[in-house]
Parts: sequence; C-alpha cells; structure tokens
Amino acid sequence: MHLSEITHPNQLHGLSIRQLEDIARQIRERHLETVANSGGHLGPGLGVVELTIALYQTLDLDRDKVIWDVGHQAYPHKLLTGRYKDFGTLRQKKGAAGYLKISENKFDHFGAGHASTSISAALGMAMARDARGEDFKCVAIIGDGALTGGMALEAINHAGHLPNTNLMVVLNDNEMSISPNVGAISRYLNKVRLSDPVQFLSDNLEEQFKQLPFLGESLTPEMERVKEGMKRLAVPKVGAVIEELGFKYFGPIDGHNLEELISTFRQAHKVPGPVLVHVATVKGKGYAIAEKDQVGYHAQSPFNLATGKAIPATKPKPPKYCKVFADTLTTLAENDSKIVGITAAMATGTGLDILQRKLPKQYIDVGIAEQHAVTLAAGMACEGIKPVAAIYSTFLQRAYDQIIHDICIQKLPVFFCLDRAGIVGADGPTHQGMYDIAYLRCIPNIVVMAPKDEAELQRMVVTGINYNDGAIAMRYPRGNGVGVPLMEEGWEAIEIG
Amino acid sequence: MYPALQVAEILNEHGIEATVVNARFVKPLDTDLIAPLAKRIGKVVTMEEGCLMGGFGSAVLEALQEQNIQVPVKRFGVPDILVDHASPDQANASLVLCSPQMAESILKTFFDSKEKEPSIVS
Repeated sequence: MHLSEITHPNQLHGLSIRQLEDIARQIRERHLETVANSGGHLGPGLGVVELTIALYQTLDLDRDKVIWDVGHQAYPHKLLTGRYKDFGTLRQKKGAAGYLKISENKFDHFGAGHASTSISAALGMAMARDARGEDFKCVAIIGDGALTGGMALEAINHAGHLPNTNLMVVLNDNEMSISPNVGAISRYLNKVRLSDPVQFLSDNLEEQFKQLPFLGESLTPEMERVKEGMKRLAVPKVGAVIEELGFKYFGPIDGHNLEELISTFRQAHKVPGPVLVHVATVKGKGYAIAEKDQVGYHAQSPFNLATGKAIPATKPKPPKYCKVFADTLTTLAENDSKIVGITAAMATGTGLDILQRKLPKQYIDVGIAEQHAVTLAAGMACEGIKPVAAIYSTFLQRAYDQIIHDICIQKLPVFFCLDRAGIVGADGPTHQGMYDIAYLRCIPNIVVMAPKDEAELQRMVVTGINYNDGAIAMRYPRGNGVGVPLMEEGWEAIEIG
Repeated sequence: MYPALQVAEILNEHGIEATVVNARFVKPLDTDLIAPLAKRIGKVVTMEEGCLMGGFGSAVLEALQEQNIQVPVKRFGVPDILVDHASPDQANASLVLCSPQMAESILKTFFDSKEKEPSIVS
C-alpha cells in the first residue's frame, strides 16, 4: 500500500507487520525529503514512526483521541491523517503547520508548540468523557524531555489519584530534550532503560532450564512460554516509581519493533485506570546522520539529504543575535564569576552552549522548566549572584507569576534575555514572541529594553549585568543582526530610560 | 529602528520630514524626549513587532495622555489576531509592517491634506 492512499489512520487496521514496516519506510522517506527541502523538525518525528503506526493500529481513531505533546514529533501522525499531499508545504505560508493545530485536521485533538501539556489535556478529555458517560480512549504521548516540565508532573500527580479514570500515557523516551536531558527523573528512566532486570531474570532462568537433563541447548516451546510468563511477572518492578504514583507500568519496550509495540499497546488498553507505556526510541531513527548528531538534527534548515549539510546561504549574513548575545555574555562572565547563565533546555537556541563550553561552572540547564528557571534565578540573586535567564519570549510566558511574585515584588536583580521576540516566522502562533512588551511592562520594578541592532545589544548586555535596582529584561529578534560593526570588548552600559 | 529610518526616507521622497526616535527603553519610557517632540510636531507614529494591546504604542499613548498632549497617533504592530506560520517577511507584509506599506499608510492617514512633518517613534 502506498502511503498516499492512507487518508484515515484506521486504514492501518488489519495490515501485516511487513506492510506496516513498508508504511514506516515510506513515512521516513517523505518526512526526510520534506524537511530537507523546507526545513523543520527532523529527529523527533523520525524517532516515533513505529510508535505512531503501532499505536494507531490498536486504536479506533473515529472515537479514540490521541494528544501529542509538542506537535513537532507528530509529522508521522500528519502523514497518516490525510496530509500526505499537503506535507510538501510544511511550515510555509498557507501550508501544513509545523505543529499540531486543532483547526487543521480532525485528528489533531489538541494543539501544542510548547512542551509538557499533553497529560493535562488528555486527562481533561478523559474526565469530560466519564462525566458524559461516554466510552473512548484518551492517549497522551509525551517525551521524556517534557517530563522535566512541572506541568506534566502535576498532571501525573492528579491522574495517579484517579484510579477509575482510564488514561494512557505513552512515554517516548529518547533521552533527549533538544539537548541531552537533565534531571533525576531522566536519570531514573535511563536506569530503567539500561538495567533491564527483565532480561536478567529470564536469561538466568534460561540458563537454569538448560541445566535440566534432556533439554539440551534450545528451550521447548512450552518452556519459552514459561519464560515469557516470568518476564511479565517481572515487569512491574521495572517501573516501580511509576507504579507507586498510581499508574500501571508497561515497558520498557523497543520503540522501533512494531510487533512488540502492538502487543504491548493491546495489553495496556485492557488495563483500567491510568496506564503508562514506556517506549525507548532513538531520535532521528533511520537517518544515520541524524542519529549520530541528535542535537544538531532536532530541527534543521533546508539541507542536502546525502551529506546532511545545510544548504549554504547565497551571501554571507551578519552574525545571529543569539550568538552576539552569548559571545558578549561569555566575555563578561570570564571576568566576573558572579555571572551565571540559565537556560530552560535551550542551550543551542539561546547560544548559551558557548558559555557552557567556556565556563561550565557559570552555566545551568534546568530542563524544560521555565517556572523553576525563573525562581531559581531569584534565589541566586538573593545570594549575590547575577543570574542571566536566557529564555525565549514565547517560553517566558510560562513563568509569569514567578516574574511577578518571586522577582519583581522582591525587587531582585535578575537579567532576562528574551530571544525570538517579535515575529518568529515558520513556527507560527505558538511561538510568536509578540506579547512580552505587554506582559512585562505592567509589572513594577522591571526595566524593559530592546536593542536596535547587534552592537546596541552588546551594550545592553553590559547594562543588564550592571543593573541592580530590580529586574531588567532585554528583548531581541530571532535571526541575523543588521550587519553593523561589533566590538570585541570594552562595551559601555547605556543609561536607563 | 531600521524600518523606521526606511519609512522616514520614503516619506522624505514625498517631501515630508520625519524625526525618528530610537525608543530602546520601553520602560522607563523616555517621555522627556518623546512628549516635547510630539507636542511640537503634532503627529506621532509608533512601530513595534509585538501586540498593539498593551505594547509599546500603548505606552506612548499613555504617556501622551498623562501629559495631556492630544495629537493623532498611528500605531503599527500586531492587532488582536493570531499570526500564522509563514516566513517573517510574509508575516510582516500581511500585518502591513513592511517599510513601504507603513510609509503608504502614514501618507494616507496624515497627509491627505497638505500638512507635513510627522514624528516617528520606534
């Protein structure tokens, strides 16, 4: 079956594993060629091709609802829900959106461009379903990166308290946000992935069976079944923490093995209450260059498929604002150990990876956790550190009360650097940085500034570092500067006002 | 700032002189600079890549109102709509935020009759 013939995901029902594998191959092909051509997210989608196919094979999508966290991993979903033909227009004006959009397709049940929202939304739908006495499945698919966001944990906390509310959470565990994941939960999941007590137990068992007389080197089919049974018994122990939180745990399963995925989803659908299926995936799967450089191929501008190299611009461009920002900050931080740069899982996007490489002790990545980043900065400011919170305009929206309650009310000297302010382009409404002036301006004890070019940005970085009479925010655009000459050092602060 | 300079240049070709202010501080706003200019010149244009409601143009309007300076103000920015995915240039064009579009709009708003010299704040 050709992928273009699939206009409804239920067409996957009844297909053989071989046919599904063929669909997977076609999805990867189309995904790769489209992103190579128009730019967009690459690694996240390639990692969930089999996950998507297998899950959809076990659902009735005329009734059941799937909610994808951060829609950028949902390109396979788009390709299975009637958007094959439009997919070439990805992220272009009037074309297919780069994220899921409730208005774009009836199978996009909830839009998202920011992380960690899916479990809350899915639980809300499940509770509404139960209140109406209806019967359909609600499934949230969330990355392990998004579990670093407090909201996802709030939702897990709530769902785990509702044993009679059927909800499936599929954990797409690729060990990454955009950059490698941070935090204790990530470490725990990693341990679960790697320690694999299931295998240990069954291998041991196998050895013991082999000691029995007359059995020889291979196990009889009966014995294989016993072994499988033992495996299942062992499974709950693997996800003990998750089980303690009130979820039934399935996994970890190989996210690129369709058979294993399908049989696990089938089993998990039968279990009442909240269920978590832990799927181990590889970001960029199937495209070796992307598997190797998972940070670089999270998202891409147009590139050459054979080499993986970005198609070079026709003429040299001025440096990007984020690079000028990071270079300037790093130079200042070299001479002032009190300066600490904080990112919420956006090391490369904000440019702070430059600071990380040069001054790792003055760099903090908190995960996709903007609220925490801001209040962490507040705490550091209390102790005489100069925190520089580099958070995109659109993502700082997520930490609004922290700005007011923890920083401005207490007049703490935190320096906010809002990259991607203004119109961001292809990412669309979820990522536009157009509210920051309005949402910051109305708070007492904060200065708000915007440089006219990259040279003024350098001076504003100094201004922000020197300012201690409360909070100060600098907004600057995505992309390249205007091309004015830059100084290597010796920048002067600008007078406030 | 640079789009504002471009707009001023286009207006200049139409015989209109515009003063351009680099309003690098949205807050605190440099009202000592802006208010007298607004009063003297009598026409104000604000430009921002951000929402109009509560944004920079709103800040200028508030400041002028505080000082009882009643002059016409034309604000450029993002109205009360969502801005869909497109290239930044395309999005700007659809929002009438490209320099030639803004110049044309200023001409229409302020210069149907023979008056001249707006003040541009950006």
